[in-house]
Amino acid sequence: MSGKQLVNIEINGKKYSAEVEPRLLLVDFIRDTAKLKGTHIGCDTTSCGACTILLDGKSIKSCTMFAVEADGSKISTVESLATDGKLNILQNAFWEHHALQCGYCTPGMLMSSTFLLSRNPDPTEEEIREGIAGNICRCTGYINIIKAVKDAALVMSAETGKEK
Amino acid sequence: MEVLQTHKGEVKAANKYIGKNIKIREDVKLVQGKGHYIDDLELPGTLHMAYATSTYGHARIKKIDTSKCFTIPGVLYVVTGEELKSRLSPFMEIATPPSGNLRDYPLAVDKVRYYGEPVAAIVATDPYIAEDAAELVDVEYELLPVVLDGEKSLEQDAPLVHENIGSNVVWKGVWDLGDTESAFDRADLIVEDVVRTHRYASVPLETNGMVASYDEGSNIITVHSVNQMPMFSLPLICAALGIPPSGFRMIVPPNVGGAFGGKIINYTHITLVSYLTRILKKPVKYVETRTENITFGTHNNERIYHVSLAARKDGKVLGVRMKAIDNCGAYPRYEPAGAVIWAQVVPGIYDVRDIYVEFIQVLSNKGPTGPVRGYSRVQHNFMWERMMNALAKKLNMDPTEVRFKNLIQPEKMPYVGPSNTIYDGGNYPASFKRLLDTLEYKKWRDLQAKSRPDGRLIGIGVAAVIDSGANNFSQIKIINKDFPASGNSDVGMVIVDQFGDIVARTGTTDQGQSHATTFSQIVAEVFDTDPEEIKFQEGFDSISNIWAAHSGAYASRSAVIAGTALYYAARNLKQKVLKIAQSIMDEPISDLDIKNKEVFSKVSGKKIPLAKVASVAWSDVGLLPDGIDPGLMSYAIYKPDFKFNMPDERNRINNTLTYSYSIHATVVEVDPETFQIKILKHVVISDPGTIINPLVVEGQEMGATLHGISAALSENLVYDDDGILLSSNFWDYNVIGAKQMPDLELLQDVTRSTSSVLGVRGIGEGGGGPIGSIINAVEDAVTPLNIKLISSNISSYDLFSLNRKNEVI
Ligand code: FES
Ligand code: FES
Repeated sequence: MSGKQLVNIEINGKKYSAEVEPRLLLVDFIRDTAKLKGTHIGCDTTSCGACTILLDGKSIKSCTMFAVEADGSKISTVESLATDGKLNILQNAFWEHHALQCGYCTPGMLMSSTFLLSRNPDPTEEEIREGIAGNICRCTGYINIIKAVKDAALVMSAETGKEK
Repeated sequence: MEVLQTHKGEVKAANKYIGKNIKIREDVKLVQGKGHYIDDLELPGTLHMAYATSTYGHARIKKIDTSKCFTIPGVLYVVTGEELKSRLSPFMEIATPPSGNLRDYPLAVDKVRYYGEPVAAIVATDPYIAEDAAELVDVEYELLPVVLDGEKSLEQDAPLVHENIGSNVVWKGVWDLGDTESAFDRADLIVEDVVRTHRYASVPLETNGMVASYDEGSNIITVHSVNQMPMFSLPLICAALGIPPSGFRMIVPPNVGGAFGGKIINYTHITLVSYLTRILKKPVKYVETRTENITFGTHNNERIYHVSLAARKDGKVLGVRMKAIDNCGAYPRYEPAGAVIWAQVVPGIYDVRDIYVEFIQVLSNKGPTGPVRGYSRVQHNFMWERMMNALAKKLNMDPTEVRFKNLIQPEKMPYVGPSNTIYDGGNYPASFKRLLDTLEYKKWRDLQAKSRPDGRLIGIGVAAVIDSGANNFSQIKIINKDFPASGNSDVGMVIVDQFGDIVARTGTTDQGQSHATTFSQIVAEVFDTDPEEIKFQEGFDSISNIWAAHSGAYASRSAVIAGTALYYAARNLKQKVLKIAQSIMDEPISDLDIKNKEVFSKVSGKKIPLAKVASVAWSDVGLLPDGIDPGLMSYAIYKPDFKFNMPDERNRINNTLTYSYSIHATVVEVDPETFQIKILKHVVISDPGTIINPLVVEGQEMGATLHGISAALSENLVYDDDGILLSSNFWDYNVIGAKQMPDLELLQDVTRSTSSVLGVRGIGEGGGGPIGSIINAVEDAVTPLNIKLISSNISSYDLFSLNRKNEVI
């Protein structure tokens, strides 16, 4: 294969640099180079969203980008959400509403929802459905996920209210 | 070993922890991305396997040239069917000869029999390299005619999928129940119809995966895999490899990303990675791509029913005769189990006793079938729900009225059906009425009538299904009386460790059913201790953990069978704790009980911590009373009594232990121009029996409903005339997403199961209820266009074409 390239990617605040093949998918960099196994792979056609992460604050499917394209960027994965084992508001809402069963789609769902809430702190049900339209879940029927995101938005806005 | 029989009504209604909405403990790690799935496993030095797959539906393999693969550095081994033919035994077949003689190996031998069949496997140091090399496998094929349709496969001149068995028939059998002749003589009318079910798949979000490693010192192959029936698969794999079961260790990781039946026939891949690891002396890993998963990761059986139904003018069904042709694809694998499993629900939910079924399962040039959520019963339930509607139409009656005429009445419970299935309670008519009231059936009918003149196409459909759970393997003896499995069993183990912690295990595996939470609730009930305090060990290990031969998570059996075993194990252990405590506390055992990890006297109020008893039991054993062995460890293997345990000469048997029902009602609107189908309302009612954790039960019901809706309105494995699969990835094989999923209203009418110890029913599969209610609703909506539906799948494109051609689909 063609020559390897050095890439520097910051994931969850930690810097990773490695010589990689130009064709290495970002999701494989995250899982196999950085050894962060929370980001999952559910398809080979950019369809399922199990690999969703935030790249410089924007949600992307990490199976649809090469690691070299992410050189110099900052990434957040599901592992960044909790602090010292303490769940964040969204994770807590997923737990509260049992918005998961096997948990395979969950990291992607959480990252898509995190992105949605960062852009739209008070989404309607329609907007939530749209926000996670790129994420497939085969277990839950989505209903509890939608409830959890809605609930997280409420809790977050109550907390911001408190801060003000 | 203690084998316990069924004892009814042991756990009473006033439960403290069973039935409580306890938050799911597994969720905490999974929302942090801290699960352990198969693809996360990295054994040192792991090699990666990839398949080169068939580009044709049916072709003779003239030559395979794999030499180019080795031009890529990192490629270590390439194997084809030719090599396997001489090194492995073909997989055991469930059927007896002639079809039992067909030869099935992990890779195609001599010819390919379906599109996407693995023809060669490449092992390389890196998965990217393995996939590159797979592209370089050069196969010379000679094309053969394909047979894709079940009925065509029975024709005289049909191409043979496996020549050596002389026909395409896998198995056939007849169920001649009651007296259909007299039923048809007494009938006022006969309704004849054709019902078809389409091909779809479970597609769990995590595909199949496995890692095999070989320890030369002990000569043991260890496989980590997502297999759902590890102890069923293990003997199959060992027989193919020609090694004793003692040389094979099967491990299932604590987290499996969904299965829904689709992780059973993966033993072909497990066999291959095991074969390769023994040669290469390094771990070999294979994880299906999604395309492979859709192509060969277990399809649902397509079935064609030709049905005649005899009824009275008032809508009462007297008898039914049918011929069913079931298409199981190119290799039977877990089949022909599906050719008898439908018989768990012979009469559906209806009181019909004169039934004649001729069932034929055939091969075709399509991907292999096997268990898919609601395995084999979905098709049969769907047939009933279509026939009920056909009868209503013929009699010009409301379809709900016809159903009320035929539902099994509560006073007949437990109901012994015409094939000796024992329906274990429930009030079907009352639930059906409640469902219709909640839906506001009448209101929708009025709206439908009122809006038709404006061109609006609103339709209402109902479907009532049986969701049978906890299977009886003896039903397989209908196919092969020497098949070495019958009944069912599972094991539970409870330990109070030397520090006083309560630890539970079972033989079953978890694919998202939250076993750690629910099983802890069962143990908590016995020890009257907060479930949070109960530790649960996840994962399956055939060497270091406990199991029974039937262990695994399939056929909606875990709560019913493993749950009962665990309950017995906990109860036995509690007795031992109290016995030891009696001597420590010097109080009569009848005064003692346990609560919150303390043993207390109901009379004196004296208490000691469980840890104190544990310390005496495990380490301070000199203090143990005479006749009591050290340790606090108890296990129980539970074997349910199905009552009609074995098939009789008419194939009658009680095929499962519990029979949950669910009834679905759907309102749809079809756009008269685009023919888009929109669900306006969907209500479900069911009886899951005693609920251990409502969150889990509700979750399963919603998930099963999603699968049904998606199967009816979207998912379809479409083959072209040459046998090429056109929908092999998530773009073409559309599973519905959050935008397509309607809101659901879930209702429950809970009665205890009269057959299971804890009163619970297996409810994981759902019986495919939404498929019937949706197809019935869509057909109802397009009544003004005079379109007749036959299949279990409908799209706007189908409706559009049907409307133009005025044909049926
Ligand atoms: S793995 Fe990235 S979208 Fe499916
Ligand atoms: S929880 Fe299993 S795929 Fe979503």
